[in-house]
Amino acid sequence: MTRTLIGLTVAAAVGVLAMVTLWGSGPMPSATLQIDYALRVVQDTGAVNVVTAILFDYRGLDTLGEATVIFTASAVLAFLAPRSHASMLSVRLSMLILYGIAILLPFLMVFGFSTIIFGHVSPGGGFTGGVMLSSSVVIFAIAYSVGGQQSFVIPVLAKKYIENGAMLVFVAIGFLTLGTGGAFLANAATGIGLGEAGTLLSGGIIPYLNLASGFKVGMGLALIIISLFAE
Amino acid sequence: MIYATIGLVILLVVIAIYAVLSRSLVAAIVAVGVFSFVVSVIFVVLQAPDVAMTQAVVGAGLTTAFFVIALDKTNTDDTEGAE
Repeated sequence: MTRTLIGLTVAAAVGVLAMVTLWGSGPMPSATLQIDYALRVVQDTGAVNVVTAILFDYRGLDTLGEATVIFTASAVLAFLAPRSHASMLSVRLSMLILYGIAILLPFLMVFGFSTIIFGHVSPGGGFTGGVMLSSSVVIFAIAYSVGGQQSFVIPVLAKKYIENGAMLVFVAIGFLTLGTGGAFLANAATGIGLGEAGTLLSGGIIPYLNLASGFKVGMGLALIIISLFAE
Repeated sequence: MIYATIGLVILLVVIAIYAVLSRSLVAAIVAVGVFSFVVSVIFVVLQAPDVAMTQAVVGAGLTTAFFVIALDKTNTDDTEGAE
């Protein structure tokens, strides 16, 4: 009986906390930074999506740090995963699921890619699209290699190279901006034009950073999940 | 708009309580998935599409997948719930 009591109190506490934070989240008294970002973002970075502009331009270095977090997590887990021929899910998927997934997969991948590529224009961005990509890889792995033969799965090594490659691309872009006189990962100072806001090729280096971090997060998370599977 | 948020938050509390008290593990995992989904709906209501997309994909998608993998790996039977 005490378990349910503890559970109830925890649930109530979380609920109250959520209510309080939501209640208190009226317009912050000093929202100057917010307004400043909103006003300045289109001229500075050419990207329409403020969140992606902040994520990849104003605070590009933080995103680089965040990317390394996923990088180390997937490296450690890939290292810990046994090399041996581990069985995936013990359950045998019925044909209905296999064909359903066969229909679903292309749309999921296209949606993931479009989220990445249009990151600086429409909502979403490198990370969200990357997670979608990784989920599509994992669904592929679950559905078509149940029973452990890894032949259908993108070989783990290829995923590692994609992830490492994307990471290097991210850093290389950073150095590219260094080369053209701006600071590391500084967008506006590079030679790449900011383009006309709202179009696909606008936003200077943001689309390329988006693409790099999208692949990186995608393959990194796929590696994490596959290695979690393989234990 | 604020009433929608309040309604959804109350729904969140109900889902959380159900997840804690549910008998079977699978039901709890599904409840956590639904919890993440409702949180992403709240983000949409508060006009934060980026965060809503990320929360939906990571919270409902990956977290639930991890829990399912864990459940499958430990292959405990479903009715282990509260003694």
